Amino acid sequence: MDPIAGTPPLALSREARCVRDLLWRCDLPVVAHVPAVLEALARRGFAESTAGLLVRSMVGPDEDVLVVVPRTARVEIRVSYLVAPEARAARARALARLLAECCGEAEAAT
Amino acid sequence: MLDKIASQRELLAEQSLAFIADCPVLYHCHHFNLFLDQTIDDALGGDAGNALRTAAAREAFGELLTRLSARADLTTPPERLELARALFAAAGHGKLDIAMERGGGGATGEHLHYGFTWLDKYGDAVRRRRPADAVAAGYAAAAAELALGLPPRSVAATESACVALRAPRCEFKLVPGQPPEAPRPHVGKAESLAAAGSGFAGLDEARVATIADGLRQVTAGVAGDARGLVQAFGVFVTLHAATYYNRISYEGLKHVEHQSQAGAAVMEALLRESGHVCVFNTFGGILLSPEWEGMVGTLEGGVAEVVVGCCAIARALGFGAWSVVRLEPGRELVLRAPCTYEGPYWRAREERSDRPRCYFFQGAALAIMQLAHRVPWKDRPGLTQEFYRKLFAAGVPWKVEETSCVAKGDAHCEVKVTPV
Ligand SMILES: [Zn+2]
Repeated sequence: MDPIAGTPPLALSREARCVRDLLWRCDLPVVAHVPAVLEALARRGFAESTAGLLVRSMVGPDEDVLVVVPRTARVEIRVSYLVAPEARAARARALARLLAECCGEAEAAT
Repeated sequence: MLDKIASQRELLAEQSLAFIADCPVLYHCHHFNLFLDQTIDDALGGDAGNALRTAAAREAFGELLTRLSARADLTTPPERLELARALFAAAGHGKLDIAMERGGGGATGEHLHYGFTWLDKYGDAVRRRRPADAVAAGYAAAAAELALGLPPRSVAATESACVALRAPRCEFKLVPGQPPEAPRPHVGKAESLAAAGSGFAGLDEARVATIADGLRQVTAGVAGDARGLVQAFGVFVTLHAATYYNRISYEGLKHVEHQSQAGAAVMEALLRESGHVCVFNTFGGILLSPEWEGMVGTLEGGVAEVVVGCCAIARALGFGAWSVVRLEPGRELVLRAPCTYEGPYWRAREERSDRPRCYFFQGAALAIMQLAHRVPWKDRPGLTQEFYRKLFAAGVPWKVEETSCVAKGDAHCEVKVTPV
């Protein structure tokens, strides 16, 4: 089966601290795949802007940020504040789909 | 230019107070910034509030920019304006372009912290009648004074268009030649050390210090984005002048005290409430952030865990070296600091007080107790404004008393939170 098409969607929820749809949360299914997921994000134009290795911050081409906790595979999706409030949820869903694709690639590579 | 600014940053580690070019600075979020500005305007009226906030920003940032440009040996107007622009954006205040000649000038702001975040937070629900960016106005005036070598505190600034009023960008008029406002005593490192007691090793001191160091590394890496805004931990953050916060709080309070004691009591309560707003939004946001999970671990939600974590956050933000003297869950919390960011200002500029004056510290301690007991952290509760109102609007089961305060001449500041 095509690993990307076969990837189950990631559950997406609003972060506890979410104000005006800016912050969302996903959890990657496999902690061990985090490095490969980060590489897949880099191939899609995400650039790392990381303060320390305990948390990895990936900035997308449209200034959305994915903050990944390698130890727990938690991902916080920080939608760019330039996105109009009514369009932020859709942007978060698109980023969650992209993350699911990256998980599929990580799965296929291992 | 950013390296010139960074090289002038200093930390008084024992007191957890931060400075740029000997001017005290600290981090606060947009929820706190908007709330405190509104408190001043409610207490003084919109025009007088705006005038005080503009004057306080002009004075505080004027001193910072003057000292910074002297230390960096910047002498030409373009260099000095570039310094002002770079510092403003790096500190998360937005993009401000200033054009000034001897006869007058103006400034244009885009994505200014106050106007932009006011619109994002309240724009749908509230119609605003006055511009929101007194800080940028005062800052632009100070930068213009410095660039052209005009007398300090002599340029008047007014915001003639504001995004919070639905203008496409913020515009400021700068008019030189006003009678200069009288200088006020400097509040810097020496004045802070003169006011402060020594550090205190409280509950879990090593853990508090380690987390505070880790958070400082995160905040040190934070800088304004392409538009000069800083988004961190789910809030918009500014690196701000402590003198701005202190002057508007204490001068606003004195103004109200002249009119009525009842009004003064209300304003004191509102200054404490600014501590609730900050602790709920920023401290709560940090505790639930992926940065916290990566650095400290997932929050379990124990009372001591939350209280100790909050002390570390306060230190990292530059609020003072908060330590837990005593914690009995459900019964008592005592926090101590060599001094807060509020106390040195009072000591340097006001008569010795007959009562404690660290209103933010008082409100923050009460809010920490409430967060530690009434928030089901494991369920990852939404830190919404509705939840805030539920926690703090009515029937808060705690009271707070500042039992020692450097503003009174005590050796340190200490607050005690107990059940009502
Ligand atoms: Zn005090």
